[in-house]
Amino acid sequence: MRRAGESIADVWLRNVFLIIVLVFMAAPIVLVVANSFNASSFNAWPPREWTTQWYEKLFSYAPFWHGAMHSLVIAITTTVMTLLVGVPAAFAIARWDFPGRTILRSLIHAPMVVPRVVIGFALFMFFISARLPLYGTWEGIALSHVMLSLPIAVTILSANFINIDPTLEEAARDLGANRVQAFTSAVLPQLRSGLFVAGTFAFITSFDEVETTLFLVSPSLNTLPIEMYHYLEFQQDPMIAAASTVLIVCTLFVVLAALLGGHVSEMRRSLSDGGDTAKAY
Amino acid sequence: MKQHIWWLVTPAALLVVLPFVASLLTIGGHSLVVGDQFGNFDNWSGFLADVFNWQVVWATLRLGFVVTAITVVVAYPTAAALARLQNRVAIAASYTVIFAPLLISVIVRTYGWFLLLSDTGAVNTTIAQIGLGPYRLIYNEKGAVIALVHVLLPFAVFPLLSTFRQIPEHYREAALDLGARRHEVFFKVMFPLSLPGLLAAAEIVFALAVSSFVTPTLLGGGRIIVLSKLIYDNIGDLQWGVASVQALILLAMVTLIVTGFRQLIQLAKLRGGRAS
Repeated sequence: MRRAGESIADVWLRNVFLIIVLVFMAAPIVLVVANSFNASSFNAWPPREWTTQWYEKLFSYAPFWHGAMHSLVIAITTTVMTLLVGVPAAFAIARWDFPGRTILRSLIHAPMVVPRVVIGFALFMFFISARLPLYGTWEGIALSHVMLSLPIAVTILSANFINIDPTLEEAARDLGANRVQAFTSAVLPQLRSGLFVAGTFAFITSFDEVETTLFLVSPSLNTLPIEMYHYLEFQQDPMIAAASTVLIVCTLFVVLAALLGGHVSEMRRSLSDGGDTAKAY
Repeated sequence: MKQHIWWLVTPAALLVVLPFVASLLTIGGHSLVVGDQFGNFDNWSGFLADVFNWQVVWATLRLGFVVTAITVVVAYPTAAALARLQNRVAIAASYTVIFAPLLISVIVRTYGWFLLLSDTGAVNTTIAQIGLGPYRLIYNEKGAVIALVHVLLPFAVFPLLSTFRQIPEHYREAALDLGARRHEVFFKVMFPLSLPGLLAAAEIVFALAVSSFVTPTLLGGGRIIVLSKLIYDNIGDLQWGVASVQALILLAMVTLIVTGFRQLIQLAKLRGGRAS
């Protein structure tokens, strides 16, 4: 649409620029999918022949499957723990002004600013020095992932809590419910979309994490992204493209499932609430 | 404090805040450990005295500057164009293409750039048809810069977009009605109003670019040595004290950058006044 003082040429220029940016953003991802069917093991482009052999190689390549199982266990643990810890913390931060609230909030958000490599290295040193049996275990990796996903989860959840009317909870209390009952019956049902958005973020953050995880894995316990990273250091054949394509399809499913689970319009609201709150920090 | 608030915040404090603070204190302590000795500053003086380390710090900062400059220059008109879109299909498609890559592993996106930029990749074979190239675009800084711009662009578009949405359309119209020329409308009205968003975009891109690891190591093929790679390599060599110093320096760099940008944003908000 044209607006005051704008020529048709301006509108064209703007849209052509946007299209170039969209091509730039989509190109590497489209190419990964196309290349997974490229018969050339040197990724020669354009492909002379098409093949599904890279998927066959992928399905029989055990390290990726072991890694995927570990990643799945870690991502589910991270999601559950992030919500279990994040919901009460976000509730307290959104509802009450208590001593230490500002410090707690900035400490929960701090891992967003600290480089992931530094978090991974520091946790590695902490696990070793404090002789905690967490280095090289899936529990230790999940702990680091909870640390990384909690800031986003608390931001999204506290934005949701602010929109929930406290009088409903008070009414439930007046009718004889205790604090926990009042929370689960009057507050939690309204939190559904926030839980889905925060949970999806936590799951994807954990499943894709490389830079912190790299310091906490052991040779016997690698996650899928770490296995892929090490594979890529030495070879770049299209089996990696096949693995990437499988990952892209899985991500699509996760997002679709989350969209179906939460109501789409509510999710959009809780996302934009989260975005506006994030700016406030 | 009321007791129920304790119960609400204790899990987060114990599970996340405590290990976070403890681990940073651990590397603080370990940076002073040499052999069996504690309170030894050799790791620090060794780092500061070695020219190589300064070169790495400079390479890290330069990568941050170049990537931030390009990303912000691309993101600014992109966000402006997105904010002006009216067609619902175009809006849905553009948002998906720009923001969906955030959900895709950084390894997949980096590998995509490897495919595009390698000697036999799509870019070089396409430009060969018009008689150009081949250009060496991977295993040097060029490839890493291009891929990092791609990875970080959504982070820059997001704050810019919400700033553009807050600028009321009638500000433009008023300026035009009062006789401002088009470049004056941009430089005297729109740009100052969008400056806080621009600075917020630069802040996050810079912080993420100087701490990036996967993209520079995979596309640099060992030729780009940034601070994060140095830390990782030193773990393998069991140089934990040295790695602690490097991690603290990287942390200090990012903290300084973020604090500096936040000061600038406050200034820009005061000078430009908040739109709305």
